[in-house]
Amino acid sequence: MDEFLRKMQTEVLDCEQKLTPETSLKGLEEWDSFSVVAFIAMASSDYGVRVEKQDALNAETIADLYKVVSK
Amino acid sequence: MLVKLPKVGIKAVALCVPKDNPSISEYDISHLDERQIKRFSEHTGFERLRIADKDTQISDLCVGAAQAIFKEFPEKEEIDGLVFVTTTPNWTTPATSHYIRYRLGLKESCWCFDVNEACSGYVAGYYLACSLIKGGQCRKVLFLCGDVTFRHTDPYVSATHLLFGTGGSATLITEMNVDNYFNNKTFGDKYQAVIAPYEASSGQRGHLTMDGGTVTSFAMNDVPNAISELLDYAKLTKDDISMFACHQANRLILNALAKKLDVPKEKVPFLSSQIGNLASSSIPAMLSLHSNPSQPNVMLCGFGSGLAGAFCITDFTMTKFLGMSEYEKSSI
Repeated sequence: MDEFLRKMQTEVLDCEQKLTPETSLKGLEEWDSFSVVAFIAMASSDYGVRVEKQDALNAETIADLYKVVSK
Repeated sequence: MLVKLPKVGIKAVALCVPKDNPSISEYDISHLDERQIKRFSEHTGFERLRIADKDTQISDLCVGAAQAIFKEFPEKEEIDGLVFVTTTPNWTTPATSHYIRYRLGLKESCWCFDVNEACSGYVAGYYLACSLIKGGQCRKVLFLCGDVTFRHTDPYVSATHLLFGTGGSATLITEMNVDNYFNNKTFGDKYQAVIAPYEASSGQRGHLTMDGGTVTSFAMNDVPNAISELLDYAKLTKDDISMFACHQANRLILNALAKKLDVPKEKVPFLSSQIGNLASSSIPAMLSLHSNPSQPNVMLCGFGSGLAGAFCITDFTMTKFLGMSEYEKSSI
């Protein structure tokens, strides 16, 4: 999870706010269409998981996104 | 379909772009702030775009690129096929390829085809041109492609409006001692992922829209699968490929693809930061900007609207790359 948080922080969201598993995506300005694209790309390149757009959009927290790449 | 087409190859490649080269912030009209512009450029890699003025058609840019080839190889008389790939022809009818043949002074018996294909179009068009030669109908084929996609984007949607540049490419295809291995995949169920709608009943055109998430899922999963299939078919490994010449979708996707394929980033070059995503001509554009494109075992990877992907392992050691020129109205 720590590695995932680091990747979300630096590679996907590139945000200043310190992320935790409980961080809500709705409250994050950086969770936009660029970040959705970056997340889907990372899921494939780093976790070998195919993620469709709706899987990403259904997530409410960082922990939900972690579940998506851990499936 | 996996297929091998031997003894045909690319003799020369040229690119022609318009002179106008605004930065993303100059071109933006939706008043993005500095932070948003920076975020766009960091993600996509695009900093400047080549933009055609209202009097320049895609035919002008392709004619410019073709003339650069004929200057080096005066073989106009021998061209008996012209394939023109675009999503933005000059007109709905007639096919623009007939007009381009006339503009270039190619012989009247030259076969002319317009093909509607976007980001996978360079490889699809190359396949078609090779097929015309392998079938024995043509000896030399001039393959042109390019788009003025920006004219069909919504200027207030930065994700598409700030993405697309303009350019026309020309590729001369002849019999050569080169083997080509092709693969392709089409997913017409995802036709809405990148679409510029046209209502046949009313004749109205809508803005081009792009569903980035769906396109990325395709690019990061179906594309690497098709690449693996093609490597197996050609009995090669990723390490035998000197360069994956990919559609210049954006930098993030190409870097992620390099990681997914487990090859160094330098083998999946993104060189379009100063010109934008040129859609069908983005692969020849990247090759035209590359310092050393004449390499063996190059894999061309086109993917995008359709959704569709087309892939080819070929050899560029005998190919002459003439680089990028700027369009001069007076010279054509």
